[in-house]
Amino acid sequence: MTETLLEVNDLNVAFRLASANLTVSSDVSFSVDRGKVLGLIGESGSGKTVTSKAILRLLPKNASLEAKAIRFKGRDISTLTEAEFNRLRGTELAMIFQDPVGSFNPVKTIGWHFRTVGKLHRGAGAPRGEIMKEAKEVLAKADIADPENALRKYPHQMSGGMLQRCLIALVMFSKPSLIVADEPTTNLDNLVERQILDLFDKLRRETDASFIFITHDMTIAEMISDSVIVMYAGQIVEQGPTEALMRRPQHPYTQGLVRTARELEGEVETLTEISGEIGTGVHPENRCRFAPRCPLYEKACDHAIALRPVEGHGLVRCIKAGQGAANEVTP
Amino acid sequence: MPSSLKYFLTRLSGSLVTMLVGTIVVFLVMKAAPGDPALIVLGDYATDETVAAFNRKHGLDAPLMAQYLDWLGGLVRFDFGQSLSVSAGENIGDLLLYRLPNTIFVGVYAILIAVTLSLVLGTLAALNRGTTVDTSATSLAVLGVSMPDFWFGYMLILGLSIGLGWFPSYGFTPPSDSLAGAFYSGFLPALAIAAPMAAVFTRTLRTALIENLDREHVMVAKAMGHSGRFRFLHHVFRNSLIPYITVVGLQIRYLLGGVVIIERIFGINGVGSLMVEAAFARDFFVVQACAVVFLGIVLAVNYVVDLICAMLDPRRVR
Repeated sequence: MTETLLEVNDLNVAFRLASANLTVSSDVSFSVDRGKVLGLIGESGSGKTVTSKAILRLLPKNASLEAKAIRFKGRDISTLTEAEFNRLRGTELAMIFQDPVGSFNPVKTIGWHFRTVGKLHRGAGAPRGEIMKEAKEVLAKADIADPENALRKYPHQMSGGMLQRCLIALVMFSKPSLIVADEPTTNLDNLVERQILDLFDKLRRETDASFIFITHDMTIAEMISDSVIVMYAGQIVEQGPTEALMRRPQHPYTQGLVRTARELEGEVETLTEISGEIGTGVHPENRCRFAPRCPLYEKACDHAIALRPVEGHGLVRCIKAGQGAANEVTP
Repeated sequence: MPSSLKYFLTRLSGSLVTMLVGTIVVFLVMKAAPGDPALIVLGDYATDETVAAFNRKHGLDAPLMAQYLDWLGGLVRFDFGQSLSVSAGENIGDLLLYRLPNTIFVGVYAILIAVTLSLVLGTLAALNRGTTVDTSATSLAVLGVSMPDFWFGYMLILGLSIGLGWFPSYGFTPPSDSLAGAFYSGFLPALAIAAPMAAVFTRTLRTALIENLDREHVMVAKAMGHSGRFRFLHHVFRNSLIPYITVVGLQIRYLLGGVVIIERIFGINGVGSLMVEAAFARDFFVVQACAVVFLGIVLAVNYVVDLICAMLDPRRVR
């Protein structure tokens, strides 16, 4: 029996700039089930990071956020005051960032980070020995070989991979229900990336936490997530269970991504690329946003395209989806 | 912690070498300065014999190297020799001992004013970036660096002493006589020295705070649920202290330059005014002693600042 943990309803994020208002997230709706992993996919500029930061209200001051509702554990959290919302951060909603080195205060030890987070969420009266004991346990769970030693270290004395483990441990330390991981392996080399992904895989099995896993790598999304959302230019273009989406992608953009991922696995000579570049954030209302790059573009695409369910798949934002235009992608 | 101990010792030996080189420079510059001390003390009509006797008495006829070593040997024992003309025959060490507390008092007073002002203004400016508060604080800082301290000193006298009559325009009560009196009579000179420093400190702090506000770990701390106060104190302000304290340490040399002038303007019996008087009277030994004292203060302060920064920034000690 699956239970919905987070439900986002028509989320819109815009940035006020000197020149214009830039919409980076338009009418984004999705939900995350308890204990499940949602993969959020898209290239740079597609709005995936902004969308996830919006959930934790971590956007800069010049960003405006609107949503019909953001329901967490059945409660609408979009109407909470900042003080009320802050009580959810760390304990219920948490985030892991791209750059593990920059995520720690460089002049404080790893132990300091655990101690202050521990005090914050367990109360100032919590015995220090107890906090540090739990910190060591959670570090061990994150595959840190010598937790005692790691707690004494300063960030600059550790590698990126080790720091990402420490950061994951620090986030797990407060046992949040939903963890947003924003490309947590992008800054790491391949071997370490694989180890960190294995760690995520282990954690999702051992805890009942849900994850939103942001990545631009289809292969990673396939490996780690139960369902996938593909974003393009601030919109969801396709959304569905991972397996179906990977085997029979419906949207031309998703098809391009999947094909490239398959080609990478198959070690082909040349990669098929999706030609062109993602737009600037100002999009004509009466045209499919992917149209300028779409191989299937035709006159009928020149109006606002809605996200619609396609039989046997999830939701797709393409007029041709389900009409036989989408072919199975084979390696 | 052997690595940090090693760092402290390396820095200490570096400071001592700098001190040694500094004494050579001070000595040579004073030797190259125009004016024969014997003629100044004895007068233009002194005979060759009396001049020779004077030079012999003060060791001025010895070779340069011997004179330097003799002087250096005295310094190590805190024996600065005797004054030639400013306070003829008096032990320079005693002169300094009497005057140094006044200079240190005014200097520390000025730093306290500058630090207090800059902490308030710099923080306000950084937290209200781009607003009127920021612009006002930044403009005030630009005004501060643009004003020469001697000019500002006179303006303070004009406005607050002569105009409003709040403070004495001249004279200084030594802290040994009355601490309250020293704070009161030392306020204007300290403020005059503090103004340009406060401006530099404010700008340094503002820049450091703004830079640290945008750091990823501050956002991570927010995502962890840490309050704005916690993030500012432990992530932003704490990390900004490193460049801030470094700059405070570097400004000490300008502070001493300011002290020399301000002590003359406000009639403070300090090392700065002593140095000026001695220079006019060609009292080389006193000028040398004052220069060495200033050099020692600068090096000592820089050393302490380095130790503080090393404690604040673990990346610096390897």
